[in-house]
Amino acid sequence: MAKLSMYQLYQYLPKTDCEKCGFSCMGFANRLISRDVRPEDCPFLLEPEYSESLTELNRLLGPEVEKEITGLIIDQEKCNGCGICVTVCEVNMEKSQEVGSGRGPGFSDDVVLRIDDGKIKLVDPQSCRRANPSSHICRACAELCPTKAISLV
Amino acid sequence: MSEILYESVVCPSCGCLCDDIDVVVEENRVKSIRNVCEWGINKFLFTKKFTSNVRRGRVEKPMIRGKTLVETNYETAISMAVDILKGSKKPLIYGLTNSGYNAQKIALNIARRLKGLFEPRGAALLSSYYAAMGDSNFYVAPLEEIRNNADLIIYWGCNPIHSTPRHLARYSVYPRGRCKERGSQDRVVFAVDVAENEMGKLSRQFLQVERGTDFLAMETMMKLLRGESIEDYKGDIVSIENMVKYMTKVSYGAIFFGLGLSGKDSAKRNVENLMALVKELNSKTRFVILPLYDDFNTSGVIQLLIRELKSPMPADFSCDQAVNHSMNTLLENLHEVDAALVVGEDPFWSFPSEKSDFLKEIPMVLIDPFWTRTTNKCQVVFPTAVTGIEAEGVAYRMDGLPLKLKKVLESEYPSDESILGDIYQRL
Repeated sequence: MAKLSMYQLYQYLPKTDCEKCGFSCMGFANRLISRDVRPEDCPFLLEPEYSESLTELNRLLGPEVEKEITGLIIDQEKCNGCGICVTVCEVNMEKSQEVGSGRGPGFSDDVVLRIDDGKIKLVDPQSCRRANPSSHICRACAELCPTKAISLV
Repeated sequence: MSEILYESVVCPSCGCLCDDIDVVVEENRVKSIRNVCEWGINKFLFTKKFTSNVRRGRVEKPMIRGKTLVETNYETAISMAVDILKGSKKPLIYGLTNSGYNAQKIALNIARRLKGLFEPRGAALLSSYYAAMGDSNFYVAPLEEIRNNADLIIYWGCNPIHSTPRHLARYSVYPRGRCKERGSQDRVVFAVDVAENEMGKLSRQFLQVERGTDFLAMETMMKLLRGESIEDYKGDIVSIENMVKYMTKVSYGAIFFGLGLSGKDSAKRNVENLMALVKELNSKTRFVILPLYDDFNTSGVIQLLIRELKSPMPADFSCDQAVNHSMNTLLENLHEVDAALVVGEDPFWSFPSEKSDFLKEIPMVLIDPFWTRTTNKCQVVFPTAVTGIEAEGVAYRMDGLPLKLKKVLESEYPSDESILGDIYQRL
C-alpha cells in the first residue's frame, strides 16, 4: 500500500470546512489516512460534481480493509513468512528471549506477532507498543518488511 | 479427534533447515504450523511453491510403461528398474538433493556398483566452491557464529527473500547476537545481482552487474584491494569502491552466494574469483563464505562425496576414478549414458530442452513423491514418502551441521531410502 499524505488527499476534498462530517476538511483527510472514515462520509463528495474526486480518493485509499486497533494492516498476499517482523519486535523479545536471536516463539509463548501457517499474524494487539498511548510510536515491523506486507495507518 | 503437537521439527524445504517449527497434526493431516515460512508451508501441505491453494498431485502407485504408464505392484516395478539398470553400460544417477543422507549414500553405492555417473543437482557451482575451498584455507563458519559476530553481510547472486526466506531473520541480518546486541542496527548489508530486487531496498549498497560478468566485478575488487589500476572495468566503479572501502574496515564479514553465479560458462571462474577475493580480504580482516542452497540436502550430498571419494566433484565410476564434470560437461556428454535413475528431481524442467530431449530416448527410473514433467517420460515410476515429513532422515545444513529430520505424518509409501536399498540389494 502506497504511503499517503494528508495534503495529497486534501486536494480532492471540497475544502469548505462545513464540519458536516464532524471535522474540518484537513481533519477529515487525516482520518481518511487512518481509515477511521470513508470518503462517502463527506456529503459533498456524494454530489455529481465531485464524482471524479470520489473515484480518485477511493482509488488512492484502496478497498476497505480490516485494521487492527494498533493501525496495523497486513496484506496476506504479499507476506512470505520470513519472520523479520517477529525478530525485530521489541515486545516479542521482552516476552520470549529466544525470539530476538532469530528463533521463532515457542508454542506456549505469549507474543505480539508470530508466523502462523506461513503468514504473519497479530495475536496480541493489546501488548503492542502502538496500543499503549504513553509508549512511543514504534514502526519497526512495517519499516523492515521486505515485501511491504505490513502497513501502519 | 486427538491432536498431536510436534515441537522443534526441522523444516525440509531449503538449506536453512529451520529447527523451530511447531506442527499440530490431527487425523494424520497437518492442522496448523507455526514459525514456518511460505515455502515451508507449501512443503508441509504438499502444495506448489508460493501458491498454497494449488495441491501437487501425488504419484499413488508404482507405474511401469507399456504403451502408456500403467499401475503395477512394487515387486514388478523393482524388478523392471533393476533390469533397466543392469542392462545399462553407463547409467546416470541424478538429483538426490531432496533426499536424506542415507539415501544419498545408497545411491552412490549403486553408481559405484554399476560403474555409472553420479551427479547431484546443481553440482557445477557447488563442486567448484568446495574444490576452491580445498585449495585455499577453510573460510567457513557456523551460521550461529555469523549471527553473533558478523557486521557485514554480502548476498552475491542470490535473493534470500525468495530462495531461503528465513535466512535474513534467523542467521544473518536481523537477529541479535552475542556481540551484535542491536541486531540489524549493528550490521550492514550489501547485495550484488543482475537486476534490482527486494535486496536493493534492504541493503546499504546494491551493485548491479551485467549478466555473466560477476567475475569481472570480483577481479576489480581484488585489484582495488591490492592498489592496482581499475580503469578497464566498464561497470559501476563508484559502488565497487564504496563496497571495498567498507569491506576492509569491518571486523567480521560473511558472503553468501547463490545460483546467480552458475552462468553457463562462468560458474567456475565466478566461484574461483570469489574465493580469491575472500582470501585477499582475509589478509586484512576476517571473512567467511557460504553458498545458499535452495534444496534442503545439497550440502549433504557434497559432504558425502568428500567423505567417500575425497573430492566434491560429481563422480564417474566408469573410468574407476572421480572426474571433474561441470554441469556443461554432463550435458555435453549426456550421449554417453544409456539409462538414468532420477531421485527427487525434475530434469525436464531444469535441463535445456535440446538436452532433455535426449533423455526421452533412454530408459529412465524415477523416484519422486509428486507428478512432474519427468513422470510421463519414464519407464518406471516409484511413489515415495516425503523425507522430513513422512519419513525420517538426516540432512546437512548449509554450513555443514547435520540435523535429524522427524516424521510427523504416517504414510503408506516407502521412503526413497528403502526403495534405493531394495534396488541395490538386487543388483
